[in-house]
Amino acid sequence: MRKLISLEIKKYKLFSYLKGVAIANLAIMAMLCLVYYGEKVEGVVAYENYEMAFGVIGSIIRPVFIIFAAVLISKLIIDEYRSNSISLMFTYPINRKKIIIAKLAIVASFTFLTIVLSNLLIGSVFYLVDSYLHFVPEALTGKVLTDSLITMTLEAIASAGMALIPLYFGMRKKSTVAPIVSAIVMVSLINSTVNGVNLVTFIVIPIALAIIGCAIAYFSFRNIENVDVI
Amino acid sequence: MSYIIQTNQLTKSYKGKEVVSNVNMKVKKGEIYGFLGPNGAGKTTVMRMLTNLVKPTSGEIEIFGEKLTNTSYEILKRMGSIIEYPVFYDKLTARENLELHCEYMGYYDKKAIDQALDLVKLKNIENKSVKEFSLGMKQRLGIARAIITKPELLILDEPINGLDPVGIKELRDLFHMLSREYGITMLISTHILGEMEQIADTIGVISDGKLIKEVSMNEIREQNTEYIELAVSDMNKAVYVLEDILRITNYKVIDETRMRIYDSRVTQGEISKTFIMNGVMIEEINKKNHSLEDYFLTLINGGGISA
Repeated sequence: MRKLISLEIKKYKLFSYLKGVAIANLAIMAMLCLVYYGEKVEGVVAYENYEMAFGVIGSIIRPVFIIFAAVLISKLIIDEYRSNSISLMFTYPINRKKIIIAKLAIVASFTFLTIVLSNLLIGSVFYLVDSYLHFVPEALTGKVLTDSLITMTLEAIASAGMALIPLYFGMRKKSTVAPIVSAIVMVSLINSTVNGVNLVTFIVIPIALAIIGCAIAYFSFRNIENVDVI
Repeated sequence: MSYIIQTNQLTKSYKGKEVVSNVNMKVKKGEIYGFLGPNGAGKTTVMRMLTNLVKPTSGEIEIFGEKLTNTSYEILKRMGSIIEYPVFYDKLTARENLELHCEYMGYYDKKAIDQALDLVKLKNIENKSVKEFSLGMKQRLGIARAIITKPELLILDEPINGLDPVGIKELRDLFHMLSREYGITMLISTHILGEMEQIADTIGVISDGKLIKEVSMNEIREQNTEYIELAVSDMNKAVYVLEDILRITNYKVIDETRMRIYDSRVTQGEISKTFIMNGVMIEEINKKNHSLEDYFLTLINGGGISA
């Protein structure tokens, strides 16, 4: 399996996507600055405490990389069907399920890792900048930090599952645009419901969506050995 | 006799319509099997079924003596194929594509890539992505990819598509070489009959999804391959001269003015001389080879009527 994953990475030169990840991170930081100055103009404190700050950071990062994952789905799976290179892949002496699982594993782990790492990076930068400029009124406590880390990790796991949902829309008509569009729609729906709703929905919705994502991945390829490749 | 490919009542239908019906095909070890048929006859579908890309609706396939099932991945290791047109990862170079192929096939002979590129005579392609290749170059690269692991069985669907005459000749030599030197069994489909005639050991003719004939080239050659075609002024008289004077019975009247003489004992000169002396005017006389093309067309048309 590790071999298959590394071959996929080689085939699509996936490391070149790290540039995109870096750019996304810079853009997110710029956005945080905008939020800060925007609120300041209106005379409001943007980040009242670290809990809130980390919440804002996370809620910007997750949608970005869920959409990013949809791009990967288009590239790794849908495009392989569209260009018919899947018929080449399936003439190899490799279990078809393994081929697909390798691809999905890349998508899911990419989502998870980029979300976690970006959170850590941006969170740290945020803290560093704050330690000089002191724009967050409340100090960062150990409890807030561990709580935030735990929530962030759980949300990253949920996002990794959620990131597979666009696969369904892409596979239906083998469209490379559909996963990206559906990812955008999905994240905007989630973000609009999350605001100000209680904690249960805050956790239940992502987890439910993550389970749906995994189910979609499973059902899309459960039958792959019996399906004609034309 | 050991068969590399053997199908038993192989059938495939799409939406209730049979595109391949009850095909019983036998490919012997080491031979070049020419798969002939008009467009849409079902050649590609059969080849897809052999490579496990398409699953039969009914019937069985045996390859290397083993039944092909949905999970026969090991068999695929011993096969090389191009189905329809070769697909590559466009943004990678030819070498990168071949390297990937070897990795996926589990084949780790570093020299094989250069060797294969050499065999198909692909040169000056370093640092060029496959996107920039011409159709002919892609075809060559596809063949290089199919033969790189020296498989026991090659399944090539229209491999000479998009090649110039020189390229076709080179490939023909390559196929011969692979067959003779490496003992690779080949199943090659094409609609260019002349080519088939020169390389195939056995011909399978498919029409409307049915395998209507499977015959060795030797057998075809042995059949009346040469004949003299005549255009005469008076057919009745000509028939009389043929039968009663020349004592030839192996002939065929094509239409009111044309006839074919299959008897090889009499020469063209003798025929024309006798005809003229007996007052039959000859408007045209030709010696012809009954080519695979005629054979093929007769089969296809015959098949159409009986179906």
